[in-house]
Amino acid sequence: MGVQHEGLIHVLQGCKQGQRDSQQALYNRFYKLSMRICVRYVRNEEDALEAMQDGFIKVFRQIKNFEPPRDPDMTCASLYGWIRKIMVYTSINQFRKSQRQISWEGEEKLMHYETATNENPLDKMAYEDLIKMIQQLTPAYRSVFNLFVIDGFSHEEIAGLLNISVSTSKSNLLRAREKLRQMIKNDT
Amino acid sequence: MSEEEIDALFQEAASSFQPPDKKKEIWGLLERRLNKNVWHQHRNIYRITAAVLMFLIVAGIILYFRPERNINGTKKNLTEGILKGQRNMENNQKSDNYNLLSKKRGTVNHWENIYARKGFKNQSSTLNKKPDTKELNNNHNHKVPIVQSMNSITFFSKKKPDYKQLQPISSPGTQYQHLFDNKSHQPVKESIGSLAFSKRTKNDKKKEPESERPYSLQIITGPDWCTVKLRQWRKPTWNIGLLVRYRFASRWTVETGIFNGDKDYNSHSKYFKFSDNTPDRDDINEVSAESHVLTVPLDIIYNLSQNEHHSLSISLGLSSYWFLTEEYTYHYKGSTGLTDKHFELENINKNILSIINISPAYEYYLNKRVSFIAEPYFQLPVSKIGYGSVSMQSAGLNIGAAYHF
Repeated sequence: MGVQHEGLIHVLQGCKQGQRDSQQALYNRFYKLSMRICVRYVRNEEDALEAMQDGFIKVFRQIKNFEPPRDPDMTCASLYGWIRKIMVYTSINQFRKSQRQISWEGEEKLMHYETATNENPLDKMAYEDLIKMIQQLTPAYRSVFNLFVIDGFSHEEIAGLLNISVSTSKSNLLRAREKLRQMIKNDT
Repeated sequence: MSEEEIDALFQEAASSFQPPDKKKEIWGLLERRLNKNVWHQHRNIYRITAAVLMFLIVAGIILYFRPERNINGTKKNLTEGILKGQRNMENNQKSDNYNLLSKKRGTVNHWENIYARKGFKNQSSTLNKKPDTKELNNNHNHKVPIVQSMNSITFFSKKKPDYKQLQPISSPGTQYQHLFDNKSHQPVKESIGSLAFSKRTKNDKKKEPESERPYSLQIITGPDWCTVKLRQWRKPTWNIGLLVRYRFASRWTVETGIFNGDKDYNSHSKYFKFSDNTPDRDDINEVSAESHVLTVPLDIIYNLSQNEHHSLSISLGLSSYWFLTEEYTYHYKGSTGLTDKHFELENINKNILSIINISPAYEYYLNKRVSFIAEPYFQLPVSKIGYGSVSMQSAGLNIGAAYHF
């Protein structure tokens, strides 16, 4: 573990100096984690890859501002939390940029989601299918569901981040859960 | 399923989901963007440094190869200057200066004294003719004033000195008397180099017309704003350029050179010409463009007014654009749910003499060689520009320094 932490600190220092090798090492280390975040906030893989690239560009630009914790064992967790926050914000910003005129409270057209039928969705449903279900939600529902359920933001934080009211955030979360429940039901 | 069960299911999916392994492919794209960002972040520093270096190199080359420029004079230059001045004087046998010195014996006492102190035996023979500057220069005591006077003629102006300007202001011969002490007949140090005609030469130097230095080399930099149909103005980009000017008449100058800079603008989709292959082009709301462009102007300049230190002019001309890179982002209408599309082009478009330049310019002359320029400008297209064939207008302010030669 100690060697890993030393390696991470070395990578961090290299990134702060703009060394390309260190940047690549950091990217390799956090690629999966970042991709898991970005893919939930956009509609398809292509957009997720684009959002992730934007996120890493921000990470490399702002890494000078990252202060590692005093406890070296917490460096990785702290860095992950920091990168995750940037990835979430980047995904949200990209989404908001392309969805300027959307009504956050508007009715959605529920898209029919077709997958192979499975007898037990909780046991046999692939994680990819579940992620695709999230992607099928409207942007308004998807963002609130991701932020609240998976990324652990409060409704107040979501309201500030998405520029909506707290009540809108709560109602969107309820509707998102309902839509997902319907999708799982239809899928089974 | 309860809410908690749904949340737990998707939380597990989010943490266990295996994303597609496109690590290497994405890193390639990311690295390219990072390299580009490094250039973008430091491009102004690079450009200004390049401009300064270019200016220093060019100015250094010009100064190195420019003959007889050193007023203080190295030994070599001094000798050349003396010989040149001497030849000029010998060729000008009818020069009033020397006629005046040689015709009246009473007015050339100082030459007589000089020759006497130097030990010339036959003084009378020297008094009836022009002093031999070779002999004078061999004498250390009298070398300096002669040298100074030669220098003032030969080094300030590369042309053959006009000896009419060297006519004495006061009575013949007396203009040189202040160079020597009446009692000791020694040269007065304070008067060295301040011969009567040198004072006039100094005044004349100020009035020297600029046309004597028809060429100038300029390093220009400044902000540039672009817009399409005056719809949106983005943050200015920073351009840098190298210009050469040639004055072919007293008030007329031609100018050309090259500018390196960016042209960033936003355009409404209705002003942007999309290719037939553009997907969902009817749903595009706006286009952002960032282009790296080489601009080559060809201008003619009319000098409105000019005095010793200031100059006001106006220029009109045409510019050509060479697009090195073009980046476009299509912003789709929000209601479509489509995300922005970004793409790049390299070395595709050029617009030859397609932009009209209009610019008034103010120039401050620090001295006869160096001047500073402030030049606001406007560029109006006469044809459609770039990949999107937009009607792009530009405005900005060029600030720079010029070296005249």
